[in-house]
Amino acid sequence: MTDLDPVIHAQARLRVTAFLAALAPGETLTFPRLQKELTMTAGNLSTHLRKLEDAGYVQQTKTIDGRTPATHVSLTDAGRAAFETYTRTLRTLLQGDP
Amino acid sequence: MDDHQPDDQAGDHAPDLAESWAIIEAERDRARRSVRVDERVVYGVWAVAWGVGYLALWTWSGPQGEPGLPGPIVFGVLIAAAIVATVVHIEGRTRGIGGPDAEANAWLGWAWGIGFAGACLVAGALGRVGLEGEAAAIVYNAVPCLVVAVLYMGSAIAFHDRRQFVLGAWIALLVGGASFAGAPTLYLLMALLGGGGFAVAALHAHREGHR
Repeated sequence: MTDLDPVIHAQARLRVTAFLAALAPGETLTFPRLQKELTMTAGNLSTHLRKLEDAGYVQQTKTIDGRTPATHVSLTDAGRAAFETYTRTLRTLLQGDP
Repeated sequence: MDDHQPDDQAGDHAPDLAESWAIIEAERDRARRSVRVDERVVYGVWAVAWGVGYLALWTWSGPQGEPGLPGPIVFGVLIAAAIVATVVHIEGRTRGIGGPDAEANAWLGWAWGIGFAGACLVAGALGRVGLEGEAAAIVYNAVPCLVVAVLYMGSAIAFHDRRQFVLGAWIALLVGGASFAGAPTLYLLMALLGGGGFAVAALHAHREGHR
């Protein structure tokens, strides 16, 4: 367990990272759509996104769409690489699990 | 799920190994079902629209091959329904998604609209100069089909989608070849080989999704 990235290895952050990793590189998702898909509260999602952002794994970009402010969330290259390492490590640990 | 916990605590616990793997699989699956366009749906809808619509045109065509009622009505309703189903499906799946691909998709949407506006104008101009009978049936079918074929191939090049390119190329060659058969046989060929082409693309997408 100690080999798994602690930033990703929390239930909510793993869900967020796995979902964002399923988007194509460079694709972003609006905060409300991500919240709806993951059925998380706005506060809970914000908290975990901030932790992922502090680690450089997620980027949040604020824009104005028409007159409405919008936050677009995406996985950074570092976040994508960290998630790939996480899944690789997890697979190795699971194969070694009796 | 974790809503009963304080926000800064909810979902912070470390899952065990099996649970972690299950979360990853579940979220991948959720993303595939919610934010990815399901090509099986899009191609499947068009397989039905072309298959049944063209069959209706063939069934009720007149002695000179001209479409007779209710063929064009059935065809028009099915094509309109397929357009609505496609737009609703794609809009629902891609709402909230941004980035270079989303921008290219928006341009592509305009290309479809402009392409068909041009095709309609050409049809109107040909009607104005008195084109009718079998020649009209061939041209009125070929122009919009070639717009579809070229846009499919262009879209395939932009998104590196081999299946879409093959489908576009198939439609272009089919409409060219079927035009030589003349009306109403071309409608039967479009129903079987055009609708069939979409059905094969849907089946191919389905098999790829399960690989």
